[in-house]
Amino acid sequence: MKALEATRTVTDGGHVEPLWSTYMDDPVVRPLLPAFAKALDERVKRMGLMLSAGDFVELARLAHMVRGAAGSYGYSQIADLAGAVETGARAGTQASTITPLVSELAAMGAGVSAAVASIDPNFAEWNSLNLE
Amino acid sequence: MTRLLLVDDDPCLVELLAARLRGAGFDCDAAENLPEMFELMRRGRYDAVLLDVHLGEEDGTSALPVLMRDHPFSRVFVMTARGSVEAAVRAMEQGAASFLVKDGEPESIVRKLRSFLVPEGTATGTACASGLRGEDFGLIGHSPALARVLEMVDILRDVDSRVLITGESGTGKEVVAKALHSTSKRASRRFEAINCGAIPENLLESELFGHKRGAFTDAKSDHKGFFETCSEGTLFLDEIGEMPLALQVKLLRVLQESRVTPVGSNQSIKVNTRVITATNRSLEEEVRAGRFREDLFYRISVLKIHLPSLRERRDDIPLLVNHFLGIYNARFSKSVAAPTGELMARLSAWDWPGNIRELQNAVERGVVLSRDGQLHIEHMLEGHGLDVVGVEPAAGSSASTAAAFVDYLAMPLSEAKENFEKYYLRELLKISRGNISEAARLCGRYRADIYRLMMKYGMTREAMLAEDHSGMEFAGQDEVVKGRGH
Repeated sequence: MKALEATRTVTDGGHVEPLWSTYMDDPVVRPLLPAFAKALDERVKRMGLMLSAGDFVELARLAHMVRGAAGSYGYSQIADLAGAVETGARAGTQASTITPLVSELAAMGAGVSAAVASIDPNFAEWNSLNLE
Repeated sequence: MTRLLLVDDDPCLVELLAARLRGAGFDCDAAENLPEMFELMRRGRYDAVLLDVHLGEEDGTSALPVLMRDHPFSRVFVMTARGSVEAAVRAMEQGAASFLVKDGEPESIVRKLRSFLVPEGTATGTACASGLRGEDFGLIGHSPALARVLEMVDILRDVDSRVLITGESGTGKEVVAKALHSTSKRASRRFEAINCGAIPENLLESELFGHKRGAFTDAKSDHKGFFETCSEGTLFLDEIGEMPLALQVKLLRVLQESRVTPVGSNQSIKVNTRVITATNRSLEEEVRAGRFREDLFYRISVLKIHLPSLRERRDDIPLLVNHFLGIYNARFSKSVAAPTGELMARLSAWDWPGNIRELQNAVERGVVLSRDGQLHIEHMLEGHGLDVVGVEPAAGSSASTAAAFVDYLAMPLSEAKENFEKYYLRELLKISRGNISEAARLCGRYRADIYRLMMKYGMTREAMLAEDHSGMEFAGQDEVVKGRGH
């Protein structure tokens, strides 16, 4: 899996490495990053659920959404990984092959949240709210 | 302010894209699904719709036919993720203006929208957001139909897939094939065009796949075929629908295995040749009629580009006329003036069944026959049933030309056609001083077409030289006319 190989580890023990967007300093993107980080976290969690339930159609749909949004928010590595999940889900690849990819996505999602929290002190509290 | 409607089911993405587009001066609304999109479009007019391909379980492009029919003034851009070229191509075949890579560089989206949505009258020519300019490839015009073709060329520039180009004769299929080659990573390698309908089957096989010495009577040495010489480059197979069935099988095998076996050899050669094909026929119908292999059809039509006829892009006729006028004025050292409004209107109203090739020939005829520095409709449309009485023959041309046309009317069509063809060929070879390449270029056909006609009418180099006292110098390629009769 090329995307997986290209992914750097964002967790080191209990500490989560921030994963920065290439548009972190973009005045249009920066204020929208908290909402993106929260949506990413929720979508990756749902991807895990769909994977467990064997619902590959919904898994592919979620992966497609993550792929499109992540690329636009300056996270091409997440977009690539989500693309690999989408391709695998559409091809009916075994769950055991997709599971590590989704885990890696979750780790990256944590990295995005860590990055956002470092620029927005209210993010952690805000992120815990269920807004949907 | 230009009004845009964003149609995407991801609120995260919509929020970001809308913010970017508003920042670039666009007015944006958003819809999450197709019913919401249609409702918003019922209430107000949008200059453009940015439509995601995947809308939950809906296929966004399924709305294209209705959008084209009910909202002709709203241009539709399909949004795809990186690498989803096929979806973009399918959407453009259904009338979408272009595609946007939604997870690509944000500026490229804004740039592309601006290039398409500039106020009418300020467009200067065919160019797409990436900077690809049609005129650099001989794609002259600024009509939306041509802009779509250029967009397709742009989409496919990084895609090494096979492409099938469809369109009537004379619409510029080879020009587009060359543009596809020139914009691809293979641009520095060889491009070769071959007309499958103009070459006898056994010769075509040898031309495509090569032959070994002794493979047939005149095979005096090994000969590399186009697949081999164009390896790493591009091979354009024009009129693929004319390819004999037996050869279709062999072509299919080459496309499947990327290996060719020259005639008379039992060793195959690995090739990496991009194949672009073209046809003016409906290959689907040819498949149904059993004249074209279905498996080959699917192999060659991975991606399709359809070229509009000239009557579907009449707005481009003035630009084309002036473009060709410049070329022929320079070639014949003349300074014929650009047509007047009335003449241009008449030329624009003409249907041009032979499309751009016919228009080009008409302008050339107009320039050559002009004695007063003006183009004249009766020169340009000579032979189209217009009254040619009073048309003075050009200096150096035969006064019997007009009379010959009248004589043709007394003959059955097939005979008149053959007589004309023969006459045309002789005149063409005179003009080109026997240079086959030049003759082919002048009449917009392949060299092989000229050879085929020479064979058909029994014209040989020796006979032509003996007949023509002006000492016509042939290009020394007549061995192809005589040769390879295996």
